[in-house]
Amino acid sequence: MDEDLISKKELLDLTGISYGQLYRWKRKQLIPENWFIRKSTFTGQETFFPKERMLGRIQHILSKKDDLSLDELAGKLSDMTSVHKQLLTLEEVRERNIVSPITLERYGQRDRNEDKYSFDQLVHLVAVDLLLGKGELSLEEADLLHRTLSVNLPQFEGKRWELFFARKMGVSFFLQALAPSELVFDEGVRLISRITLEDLTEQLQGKLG
Amino acid sequence: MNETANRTNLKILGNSTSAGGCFLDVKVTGECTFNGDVDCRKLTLMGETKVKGSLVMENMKLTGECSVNGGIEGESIRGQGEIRADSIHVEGIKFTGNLSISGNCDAEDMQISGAVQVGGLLSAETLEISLYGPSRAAEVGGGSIRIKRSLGGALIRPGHSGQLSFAAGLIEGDHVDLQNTAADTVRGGRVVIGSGCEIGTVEYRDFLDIHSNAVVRNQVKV
Repeated sequence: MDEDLISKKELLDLTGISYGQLYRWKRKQLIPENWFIRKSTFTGQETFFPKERMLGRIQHILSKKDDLSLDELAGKLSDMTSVHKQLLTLEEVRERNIVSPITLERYGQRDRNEDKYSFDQLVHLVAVDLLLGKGELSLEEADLLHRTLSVNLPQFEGKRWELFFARKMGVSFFLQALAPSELVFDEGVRLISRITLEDLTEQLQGKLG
Repeated sequence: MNETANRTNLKILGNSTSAGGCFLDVKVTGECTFNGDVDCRKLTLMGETKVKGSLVMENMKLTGECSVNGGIEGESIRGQGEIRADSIHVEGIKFTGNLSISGNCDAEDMQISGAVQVGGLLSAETLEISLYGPSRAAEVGGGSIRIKRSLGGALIRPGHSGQLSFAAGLIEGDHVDLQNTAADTVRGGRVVIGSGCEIGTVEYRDFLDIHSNAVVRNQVKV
């Protein structure tokens, strides 16, 4: 399950931004270097981007760029510490529609400390919610996922990780690995989902706004 | 700039070496080798300077040669001579001479008279190169890109005008104005292909002008 890619040309057409803007944002590190994916096509080398993330990021930049300078914006995007320290109450999580009510109902209760959610706990909820929302997970599997993430939290704290969800012969399992990682499975395994911490963080940040 | 460091000025005359470190203003007249990273406010170099680490400064003024093993980061670079580095990331460059960068070179405003060799991406909001020698970059990207052959360059080295060329794989910008450039692909809004160019494919949005003395194999309006 590869991520959808979008070519640079399509991106410019779709968003109406210019080459100048794109390179300016790249210079200001508003768009991470590793999103620029080079691939050879029949017209020569072309640059591609991860579609969803890129479109989201460009929307974000376009909506904020009138209020903030590009440097401030870059600071905001890379400065995760403020978000990491943020604690949200159950009501706030519900109000901002960060995860679906079902996820919140089922998993929200168990790991509340002093009625607030930490950033990591929210990331876990978002992960569970994302996979449940895609219909790739049964509720039992979601239980397992949430438990896996919670138990392993200390081990991965402050590190980048990826989550793999695979199935073989009807048996499903999760793998949590330090990113970037390349895993190879045997033929019978179907990789259903692969999420990186960055994806989750980005999504959560967007919602925390 | 590292704010916590206790900074002093450094002045070097003649031939010397330094371990590097954090300084206020650094002035080198002569030859100097820094055996580590240098972080300073104002950097004035005359002569030959080597930095065996990376260089962070606010303003750099150079007359002579400067080679940096790591990257150069700061506000502005001005002067004449030769700069070698792994990468450059500054706001403005106004330089006469040779710039050879193995990685990426980016600035908001870049004006170069001379030659540039960039191994990676050469990127600037406004890029102006006046060619005095053979130049190349893997990729060029930015807002306004102007690459011109310098008339003076042709005069001071008669018979070598063929060397006043720029070679690139890809050039992308909103306004692209080229002379004596060989590129596989040029993409832009307003594109002017001047004399002596040899371009594989030009993709343009608004406007394309091709000089009668230029070769463009494919042109596509998108």
